[in-house]
Amino acid sequence: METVYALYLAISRWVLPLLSCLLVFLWIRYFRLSRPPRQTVARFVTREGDPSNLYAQEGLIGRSKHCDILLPLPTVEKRHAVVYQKKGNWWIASLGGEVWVNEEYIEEETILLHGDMVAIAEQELMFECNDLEEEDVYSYRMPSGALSLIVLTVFQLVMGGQICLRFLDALPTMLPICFGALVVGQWIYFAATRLMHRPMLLAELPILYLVTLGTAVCACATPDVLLKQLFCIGVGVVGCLCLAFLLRYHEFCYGARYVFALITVGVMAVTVVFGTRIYGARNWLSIGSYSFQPSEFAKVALLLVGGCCLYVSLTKWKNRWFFLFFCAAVMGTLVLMVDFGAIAIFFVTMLVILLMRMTDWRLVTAIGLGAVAAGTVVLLLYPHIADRFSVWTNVWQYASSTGYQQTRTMIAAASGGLLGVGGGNGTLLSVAAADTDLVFGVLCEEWGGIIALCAAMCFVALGFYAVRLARFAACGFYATTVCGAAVMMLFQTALNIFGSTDLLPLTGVTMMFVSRGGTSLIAAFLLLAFFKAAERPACGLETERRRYY
Amino acid sequence: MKRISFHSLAVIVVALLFCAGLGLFYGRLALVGDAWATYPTNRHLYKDGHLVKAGEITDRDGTVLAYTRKGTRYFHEDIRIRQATAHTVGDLDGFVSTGVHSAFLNELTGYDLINGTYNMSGEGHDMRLTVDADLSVTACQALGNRAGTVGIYNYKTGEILCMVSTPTFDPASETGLAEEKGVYVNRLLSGSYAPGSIFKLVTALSALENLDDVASHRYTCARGVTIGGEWLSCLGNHGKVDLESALVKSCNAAFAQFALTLGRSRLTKTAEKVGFNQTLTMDGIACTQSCYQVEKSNDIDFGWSGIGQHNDTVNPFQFLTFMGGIAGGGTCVWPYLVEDISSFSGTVKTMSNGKRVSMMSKDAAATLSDMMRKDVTDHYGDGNFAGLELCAKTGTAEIGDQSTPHSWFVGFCRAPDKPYAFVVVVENAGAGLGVASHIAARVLKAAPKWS
Repeated sequence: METVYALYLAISRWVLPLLSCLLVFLWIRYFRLSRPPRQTVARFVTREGDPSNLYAQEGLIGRSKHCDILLPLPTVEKRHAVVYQKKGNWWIASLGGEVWVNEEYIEEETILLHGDMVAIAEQELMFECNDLEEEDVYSYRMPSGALSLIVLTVFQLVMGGQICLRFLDALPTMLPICFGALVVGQWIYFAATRLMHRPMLLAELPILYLVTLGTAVCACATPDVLLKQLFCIGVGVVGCLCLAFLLRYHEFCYGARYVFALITVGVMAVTVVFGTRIYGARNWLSIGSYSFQPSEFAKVALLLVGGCCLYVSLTKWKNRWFFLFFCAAVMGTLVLMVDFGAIAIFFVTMLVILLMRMTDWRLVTAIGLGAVAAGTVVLLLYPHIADRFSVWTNVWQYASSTGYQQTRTMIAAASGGLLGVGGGNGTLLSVAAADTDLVFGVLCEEWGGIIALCAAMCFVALGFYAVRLARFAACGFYATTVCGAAVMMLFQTALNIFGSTDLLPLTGVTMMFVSRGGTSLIAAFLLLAFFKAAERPACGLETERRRYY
Repeated sequence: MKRISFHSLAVIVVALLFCAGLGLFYGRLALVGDAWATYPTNRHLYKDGHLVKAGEITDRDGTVLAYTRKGTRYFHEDIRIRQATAHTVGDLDGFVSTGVHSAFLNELTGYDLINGTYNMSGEGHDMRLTVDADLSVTACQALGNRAGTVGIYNYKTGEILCMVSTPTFDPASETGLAEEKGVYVNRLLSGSYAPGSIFKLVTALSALENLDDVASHRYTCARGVTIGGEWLSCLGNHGKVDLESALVKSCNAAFAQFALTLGRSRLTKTAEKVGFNQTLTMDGIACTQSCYQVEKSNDIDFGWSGIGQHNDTVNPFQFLTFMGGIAGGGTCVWPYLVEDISSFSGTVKTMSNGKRVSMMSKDAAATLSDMMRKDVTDHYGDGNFAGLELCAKTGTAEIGDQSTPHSWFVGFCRAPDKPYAFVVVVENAGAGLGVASHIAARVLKAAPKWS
């Protein structure tokens, strides 16, 4: 039997990285082939009959080249006015420039109807939002992705087979069952999305790959919690679908923004008071025998509240300040919990969300300077954080003390080489928090540098996909949140990978979808909801159809 | 929406920074991953800080010098072989930095970037060395309790047959090693001694290559000679001597005057051509430099330097290659230790053996070789080295204080069945003709015949 395993390992350690590379190749191919729909939802027509089309439910009018309705006249402001859809109607509001609708000067946001004449700096435009000629909404071409799912399934079976052979002497029954459940689950999901003509691919494929790796790590490290892990994945998927459904109604979310913010700050405050400390940060809340980390959900709330507050905030300063106040409150609770990894992730995501909407560089600069000052204060107040900085880049000198985890990660990564030593054959899993904070090292050691690189590239892929979604999103709400979610994933992964390999200070954050975890895993799936929500085109639900090839 | 779409490029910036970080990590993995993997806490390779996962090390005849069985590293069962090959094979804790266990750790453990520490056989790669375990034992016993080194290599192929350094230790036992001074130093590769008279071979070579009609140069020795107002003493009163008789009689006075005639730059150039002032390597292992620095010396010091005193230092391995150069007709076939590295699936890597280094003209090599032969026949007594057709030179290295000088014996055999160059250094053993030459004779006679 040993010979069979040795032979299987020798072959599968080449097969798995090859399949991973094939998946990366397929994803890139699908990314290039897929064409999101783009349909005119409203337009402004000049006297001469030249139309300027709007493809989303909001648009800027001005002379800046990043305006949707470009009026290159010196008397027009850079960002002159904004039009947007709200409660089924189109509205126009000034951003500082003078606007007339049907020869009436407007001061507040005003409803625009089909055929209204908008005058901006002597430029007269006719607004049209009905009876626009149908563009081919069926041109939303999407590869079916069945091939990639078949490749992924083969990958999962080869990987599961390797782990099963490895532990054949005392094989936990849960192990093959869980791998089987993963495979069956993804095909059920695939079938369901096809029946509902929803695309299932560019966001899901990287996530499924990461989840597979996470299951493999869990199966080798702690097979007894494998079922719990799978359960959390299930909860995550359901939660993701529910949140995506909620996010469809972004106007409802906008109305409920204060509720979201209040609940979040409230739960965080409760955690500060009643929270328990597990591995350093006091960010665990226990209810009965269940314990969870509210800060993970706070990350999701940040995107939700940020998206809501900023999505029509071009006209309302109140919302902007409310968002900043909300961020400050949540980060304050995180400081009290001594969860610095979460603070860094929170802060960077907040900056990106602001950046998506902001033009006021003075405010962004002020926030940046404030962060530097706050960071200095933190270093003075908490010496153990400063210790982490002192060991940073010098971990080999402290290989048996403060640099223990990092050096072991690097040793393990090198031991695995590019192809890995095989699942369950690693040494890193005996180090504390190996399957959470140091999980990148476990991937490198057991499954090899190529698979670990593919896992990291999954997050890059999600980043590129988010940028595309932002370009074709129905409105700014989806664009902002999907980019925020992508940056959150990227930055957290960066903290995880580079923290454990001494390119950044070790902060102890998880690698989303791969690290073992309950709350963190569910929260990661909730971030996926922002991708699913942003995939819905502006042209409305009733015409939403897709053609596969 | 155009504007927000433009600002979303911030995500791309973050993603690119992320990719740059990944590039940095994988770059480091490729460059220094071997150092990470062979860190002594890596339980893939080590147990309690001792190397366990590594392939077999065998000598030229297949005698297994070190091997791993079931997670434990073993050495040869005979303590004499363990001690004689201790510096070549190295210990498991990395104290002998030039030993195979340290210098070829990656090859031995089978580490490479693609496979990491994984080997299908589970035991790293096997290495076959060129050394002869039995000959090493003979050399070790010949050195006995004295500190020193014996290096022998085949100047036709480059194989190092014997690389023994004393005092030695038993790599299989763990305790009581570090106390004795320099026990972990491989004196052949890392030693550095005053050369004494063996340096006269360098001066002689320089004279042969640079002076026209060298036979016409004759110098007077009157138990020494006055240079720049100071006295340079000689061991005998040799009268008028030419190059050949000066070498046979090892006349200090004549060689000091040869050095002065040649001048600093020409002598330095010759010395550097045979390996002085350079870091030489043996299978990638860096050796200690031999030094010849006379730019700032006054005449008397320069005179002394020509006979191997002053500030000259010689690394035994460097002189071994020099002997190989003379024996090889001016071109040295570079010595090597590792014959091949193989995994269970076949040869992984053969070292770049057979490197040739040109050191001198063929004529100069032949003349020098004949002079060294005459040294043996006329002076040292060929009877002691029967059947070897030995060409050699002794050296007695004065070491300043009151200690007994170090004893050198260097040279090579011209017998076709023993094409071996050798270097023997014995610390504090007095005149070169004596302890060192006896050791050389004993080991060379025991050396296997080559065909």
